[in-house]
Amino acid sequence: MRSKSLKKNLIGYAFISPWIIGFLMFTAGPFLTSIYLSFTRYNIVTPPVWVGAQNYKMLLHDDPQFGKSLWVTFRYALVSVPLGIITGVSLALLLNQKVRGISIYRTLFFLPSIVPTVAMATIFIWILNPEIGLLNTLLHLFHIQGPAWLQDPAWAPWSLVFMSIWGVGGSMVIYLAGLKDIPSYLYEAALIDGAGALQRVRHITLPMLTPVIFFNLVMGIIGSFQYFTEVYMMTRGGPEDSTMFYALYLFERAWRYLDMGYASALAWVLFAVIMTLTLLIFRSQRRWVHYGN
Amino acid sequence: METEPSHDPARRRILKNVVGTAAAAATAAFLLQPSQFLLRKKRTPVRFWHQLGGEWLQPMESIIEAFNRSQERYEVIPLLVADTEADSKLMLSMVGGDPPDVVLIWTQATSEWAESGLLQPLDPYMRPEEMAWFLQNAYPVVRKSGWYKGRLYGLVMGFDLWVIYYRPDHFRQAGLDPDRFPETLEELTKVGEKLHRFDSGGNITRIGFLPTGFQTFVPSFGGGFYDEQTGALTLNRPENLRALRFLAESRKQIGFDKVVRFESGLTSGDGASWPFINGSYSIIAEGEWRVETLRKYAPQLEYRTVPIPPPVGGKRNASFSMTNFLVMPKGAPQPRGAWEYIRFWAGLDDPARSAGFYPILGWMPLSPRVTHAPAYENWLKTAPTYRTFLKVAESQNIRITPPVPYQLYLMDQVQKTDDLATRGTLSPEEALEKLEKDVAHERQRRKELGYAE
Repeated sequence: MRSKSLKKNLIGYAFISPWIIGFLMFTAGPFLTSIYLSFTRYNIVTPPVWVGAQNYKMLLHDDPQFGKSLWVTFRYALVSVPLGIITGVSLALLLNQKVRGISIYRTLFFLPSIVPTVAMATIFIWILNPEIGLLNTLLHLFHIQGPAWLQDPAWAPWSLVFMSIWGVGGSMVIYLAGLKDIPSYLYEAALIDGAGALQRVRHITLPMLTPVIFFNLVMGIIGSFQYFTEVYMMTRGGPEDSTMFYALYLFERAWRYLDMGYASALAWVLFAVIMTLTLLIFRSQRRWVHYGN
Repeated sequence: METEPSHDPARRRILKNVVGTAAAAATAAFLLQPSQFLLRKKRTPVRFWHQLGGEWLQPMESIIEAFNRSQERYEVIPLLVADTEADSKLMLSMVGGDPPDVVLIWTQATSEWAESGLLQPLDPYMRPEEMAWFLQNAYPVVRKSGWYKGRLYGLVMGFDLWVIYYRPDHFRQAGLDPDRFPETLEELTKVGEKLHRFDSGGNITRIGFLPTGFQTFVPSFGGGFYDEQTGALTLNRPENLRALRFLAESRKQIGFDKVVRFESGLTSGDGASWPFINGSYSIIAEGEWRVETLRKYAPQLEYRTVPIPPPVGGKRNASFSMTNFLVMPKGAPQPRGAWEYIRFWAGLDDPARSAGFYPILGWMPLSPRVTHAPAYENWLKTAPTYRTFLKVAESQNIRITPPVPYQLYLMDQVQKTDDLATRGTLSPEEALEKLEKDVAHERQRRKELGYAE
């Protein structure tokens, strides 16, 4: 009986073995190797040389760019994640109305989120062009001279925050699914009790939506701390390091300055930061996330 | 009347014999005459990676074909690599134990890569007479590029220099004499101011002259980032400060924000859309590749080239130089074949042969000897403005990327210094002090981690 079950399991493992092998080779292997590499001096070509905790010591105590890039990333996450949640929830509420052609509106708002990041970045380089960009042309209609956006260190980080709203359609669909899950009897009871529209949103919709908001918050923070493609394409960290995000700095150290050991240490610090924030959010959920039961 | 198919056995036999004989003759010819295919199969492949796509691909392939035609032993197999991934692809190929034999690189990092063990020196493969010819005949900038710790890691294959391009029609419109080009940078700035054009709102519509690029102009001031004699960095020296002040002041005068807006409204700088062609600039410091651009896309445009005029007390015929290198990765399976290809293209054994290659790419040749070859002379007749570059190339006042093992970091910081000073975020003094401090900090960091300083 036992051998039959073992044989059955083995067949199952055989079927998933391509994935397991791929995971071990391309995810788990590099993941674990990078722990070792973070304690070495390694330029990718010659064998790594053990330097102990030197990389960590240096980046925590003696690397101004580390702190700067962490702050640039943290600031972006602090603004773009809540902004994405507010915009996503608001859009989902609007697109949850029973109006004619609602599926077309939903599709329209969702479409931008499936545009590849590189294509989106290229489009936004033009939209944010100070002279011939769409945004400044629109502002010009109201006799406002728009800023130089990506070319102004004061505006470049906020331009990227603004750009992040473009992809909010993805989370909007999840919020929309969450809204559909809210039992209608709660609204009926609220109506009988005389609750207005705003009260219903505040006391029924938002609390019932908190599990979805929680999910998007966690994913948003992880995504923000790994923010890379857009800045690599659009600004390369400039002007004046105002968009030197953590992941971009890590990439530069690894592939431009051939400092893989240091970059591995940076990656593990990033991992620790993301894990800490995620754990804090998980711990906080008891206070604000409401599950139906 | 319908014709019946022939069933005559004699005719069929004759036909069979004719066809059989023809087939046998064709087979014999194929086997006895060594075809190109068979010849190639015998040759040793030399894998060559480059980044020359677009309009450069065809000229590049013609050089490879010329080499392959000349060879019985080696055959170059090219691979076009996207420039965004060229460096990382090379490194990963080495980690994977399968590097190419020869690579054309644009990244100004031969010293850094040599120190990191990515490259192998070329000089062991150079015959003594080739090295002697190289040291005796190559342009000064070529002779001093690609070396690290006494070894040659990259042979220059085309190098960029910057000179002034200007539009005589704009001079005449402004009542200036295009035959009397300013002798000093200070005079040039004043002439440039007369050529600026603004709309009624004060926005720039044409830039007369705006010096841009710290590293481009620093050699004219007698400055630089590295002392070639002592091997020491010279980041914060009076000449550098004077250059940075000049750039920052010029930018401040016209208004940084105005320039950003003007330049962002221009089309991309490549090919036919180079803004000099449509008159957005009257005078501009640019590289030699623009001569070919203008020849191709604006053959009727009247323009001239002159060396960057020195500031008062500065250096004549000065420029910064960026170089393409042919390099051999460490572990290349066919280093001898790679060297055969490098020397063929560079023309170390026959400058007249390579004289035909440089014009089709529009690149600066390795040596003035190449320019005296008839093929090159003929091309120069069609692109006379190129002579300015050849003149500057002979100068000793050309500066190159310092051959230190942290070249990319250093030049990134120089770029940031330029940005900080010309934007007005820091004064030129503060920006240079920051540059010196940041680079010293990086060197200390490298030292503590055990990297070469």
